[in-house]
Amino acid sequence: MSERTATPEHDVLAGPNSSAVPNEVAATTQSRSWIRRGLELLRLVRMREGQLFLVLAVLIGVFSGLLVVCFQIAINTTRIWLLGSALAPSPLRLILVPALAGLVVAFLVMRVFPDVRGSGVNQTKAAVYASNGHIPFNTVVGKFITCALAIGSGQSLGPEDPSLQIGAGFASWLGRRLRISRDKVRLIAPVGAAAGLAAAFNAPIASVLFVIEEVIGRWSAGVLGAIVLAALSSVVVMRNFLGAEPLFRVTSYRLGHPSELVAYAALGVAGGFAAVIFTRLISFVRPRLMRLPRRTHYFQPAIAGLAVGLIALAFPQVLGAGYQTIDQAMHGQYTWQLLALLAGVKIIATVISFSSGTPGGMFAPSLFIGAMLGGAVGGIEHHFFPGLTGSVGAYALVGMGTVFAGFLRAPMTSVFMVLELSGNYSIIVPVVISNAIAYVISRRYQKVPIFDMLSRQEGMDLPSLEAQREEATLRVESAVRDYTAPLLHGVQSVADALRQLDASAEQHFLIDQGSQGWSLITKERLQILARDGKGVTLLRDLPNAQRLPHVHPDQPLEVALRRMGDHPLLPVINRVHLDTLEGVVTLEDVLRVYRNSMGGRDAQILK
Amino acid sequence: MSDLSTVERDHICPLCGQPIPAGEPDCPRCRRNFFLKADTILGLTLAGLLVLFVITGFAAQAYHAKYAALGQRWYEHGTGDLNAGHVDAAIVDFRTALIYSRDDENYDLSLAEALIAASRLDEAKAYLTSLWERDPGNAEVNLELGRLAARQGNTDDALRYYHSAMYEDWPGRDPAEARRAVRLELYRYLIQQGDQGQAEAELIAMAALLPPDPALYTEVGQLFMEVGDHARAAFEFESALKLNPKAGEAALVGAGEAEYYLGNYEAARRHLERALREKPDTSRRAELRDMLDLTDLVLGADPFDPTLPLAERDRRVIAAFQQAMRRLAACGAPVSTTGAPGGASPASSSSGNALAAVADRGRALQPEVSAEVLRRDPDSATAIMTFVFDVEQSTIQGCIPPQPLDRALLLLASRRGSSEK
Repeated sequence: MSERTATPEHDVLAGPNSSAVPNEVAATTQSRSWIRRGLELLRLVRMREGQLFLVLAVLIGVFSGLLVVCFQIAINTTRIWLLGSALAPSPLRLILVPALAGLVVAFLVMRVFPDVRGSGVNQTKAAVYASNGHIPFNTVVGKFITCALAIGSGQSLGPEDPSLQIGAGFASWLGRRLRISRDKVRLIAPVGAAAGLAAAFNAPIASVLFVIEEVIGRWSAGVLGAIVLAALSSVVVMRNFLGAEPLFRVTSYRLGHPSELVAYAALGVAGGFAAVIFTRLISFVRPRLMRLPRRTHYFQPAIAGLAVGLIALAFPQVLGAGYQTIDQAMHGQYTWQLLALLAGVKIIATVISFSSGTPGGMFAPSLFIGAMLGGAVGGIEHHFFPGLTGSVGAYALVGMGTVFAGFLRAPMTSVFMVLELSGNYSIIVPVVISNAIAYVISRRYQKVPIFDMLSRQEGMDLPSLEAQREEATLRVESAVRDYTAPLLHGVQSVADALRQLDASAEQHFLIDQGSQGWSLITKERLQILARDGKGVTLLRDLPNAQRLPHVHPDQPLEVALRRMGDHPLLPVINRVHLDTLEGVVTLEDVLRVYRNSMGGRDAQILK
Repeated sequence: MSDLSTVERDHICPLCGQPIPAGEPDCPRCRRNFFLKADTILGLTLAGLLVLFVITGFAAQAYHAKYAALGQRWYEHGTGDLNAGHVDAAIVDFRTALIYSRDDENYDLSLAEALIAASRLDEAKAYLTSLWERDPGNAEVNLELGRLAARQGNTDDALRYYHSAMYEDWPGRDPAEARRAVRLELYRYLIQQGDQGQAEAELIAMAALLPPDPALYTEVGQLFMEVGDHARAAFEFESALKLNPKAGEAALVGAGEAEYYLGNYEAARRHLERALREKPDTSRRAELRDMLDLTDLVLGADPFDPTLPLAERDRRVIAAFQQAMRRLAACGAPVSTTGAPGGASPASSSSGNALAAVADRGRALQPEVSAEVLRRDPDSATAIMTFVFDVEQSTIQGCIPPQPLDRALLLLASRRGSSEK
């Protein structure tokens, strides 16, 4: 632990040498009176690091919100400039613009901003796990420019993941500049990530969940409050500038009859397989393109742009993020045949765009594919079962969450995303059913989640958060053994205890000290005490009695390991009846359980 | 699992990248540099926040303005295309407009209208239904759905949506006027469907909610005339004239016609005379003149007016009988005592037989048709007039067109029949 974190309560703004600061500031800021006055005002509120972290979270949220607003405006304005304002751009523009923009993007990525490749999620994870949360500021700038150009020129990618990285990058930069402790810098990147994603998605809860599910990988009380604050701040800012309307105008939903859930289950199956196909295509195409000679990387985004432009000649809906098309699909604007086709061509277009190394996200494409697939499945079901009450829009909405759950393997995020987008909690049952089925199918046929797969393709071994989430926790109960030796009590005398232990071959004996807890004594020590004439001394009055920590059967085994220290054994106590000894656990027992549990994935890694 | 809080790294300054000397809690280089101090950075960050806020504000404003302008431009394109009959182009235009102003109801509804115009009724219905699901209380959407259902001949849905449109709010418009327009549209649809009863019910509901506006009363009166509800029509016209005695030609003519059809010839004559007096150059002058003449004839031929002196009543009865006999003769019935038929021959033998039978009754009555007999037996007037009415009604078809007095007697017969019923 660093010195700063060892004393986390020191004054962060003033620093440890705060007594010297006023003189320094006074001397340096004579010509900068406006800054000085501001700083003096700030200094009035001297903050501990924990407090500063929360204030920073709000600041990061506001900044991220503003950056994402500018980012969205840049994307949309670029699109109008490059492709025109028409729904279907002219064929000439479709062929030229994405290809030429691809050349520019490739040059920027190869020569100026080498860290902006990919969606941004893995890069943020890598920063958290491998670089102490360090994300270079030029990545923020590069991500902003290249993604605005790529998405605005029609590449089939989305702005959410880049927004996540922009938020994380800014937070990382600010944290470093403010010289907060390294631990906090590491945690501040996810805070910015949540803020960026929340602003891009207009869905703060889903964004918080995604960052926890996919970036941090666990619920951490230390950072949760900051993440929530940042996400909310950014959403408030974004709504202030771009309006409070959700990304899509969601149709109302009601479940006519419980049997209709079968229809949503069918959507889950379709969504699961679509997610598997999408993931497998990326896993097939991307490494092959990455392995091509470096000089080809200058042209891959251009060729991808040309391919997407050609697809767009027939299906202009695949261009860019496709939010408008999702909105139109949710309002019954397309026949189910066209919806099914759009789902298919969007998968192809996104695989081409993403695999070519063009920076951009996959959230929006996965939502697009899900909405089209959901609408198509809904349309087919309505065709054959006209009595179904769920509108095509409702199916499209559920479909978005379904493919999202199957493709990104973020089941909680997908459920809450749909709830936030729809504002209708009655849709939760079909969403959960459909998402769960898609998730299970995706896991069954695509072992490695998309983000893990991408990080491996890039030569990184970031922790698999899905594996972590599902890792079985070893508990004390699996290592506990019966305590067969005589149990001593604090009210017994040394002589009495010795008599009780007379026939026992054990060396260590537990003493129940009642409300004082447990302690341990050896037969040898009791004999010495007796020899020293302390036979009448009560066990509870013995000096230097070795107090023992205890554990409960349901606690993780690592707790026992941590508490074990040099103790030969630990008492395992019933949680409800604290005077009931369930057994004991020894270091040997703990190691035995760990050894036995090594199988499957761990064993493969060791091999 | 990697524990984020326990990862340890070299003691390198994250700002300048230089090693931090052992024992120093902080990077001394960065601590000395004003622009690397935490306080300075925080202050500059806040200043930067303000600057970014302003920049974003301007950018967002320009962005929204641009989007609104593009939306309006594409909407105007769409309207132009729709008016020019290029409905497919209009659909694309309206969809494009919605990309830039997706919450503009006008654009939404125009798209739905274009889809309907293109006969893409299923798409239009799906689109409108989704709009309706988003806002079931949107009167415009309900109206469009009502129109669509009407176009598809689905009267139940049409009624439901039209009624919803009537009962919802109409922001930006006078709700009463909008509801009246919707009800009128529904009425027209129902008339077209031949559902006169439901149409009349809509009119009655509309009439009950009319504001004190003579023009509206006149309009509704004309609609009641369309469905043949002359009593309600007369009431509406009279109400219009009460509200404003100078309500206009339409009210006067309407009142005159309604009273005429109701058999209230006095009132009819009053209104018609006034209408012709006040608007002598009316386009319907000939028609109204004819109606007024007929009304005069009816009033002059009616023997049942209780205010008539007996002598005048008897004269009218006799005149009516003579006209009936002339009518019979004109239609070829044997009316003379010699039995020779005169005038046009009856169209068929069966009608000829019927006319012959009527003529027989006439000849039998002939002796009683005198002022003397009528004075002696006032009830014989009823029998004579019954004969007259039978003659006029039985010669409506299969005979030469009736003379004006025949038409007047027919009207009297009709009124008599109605009153007896």
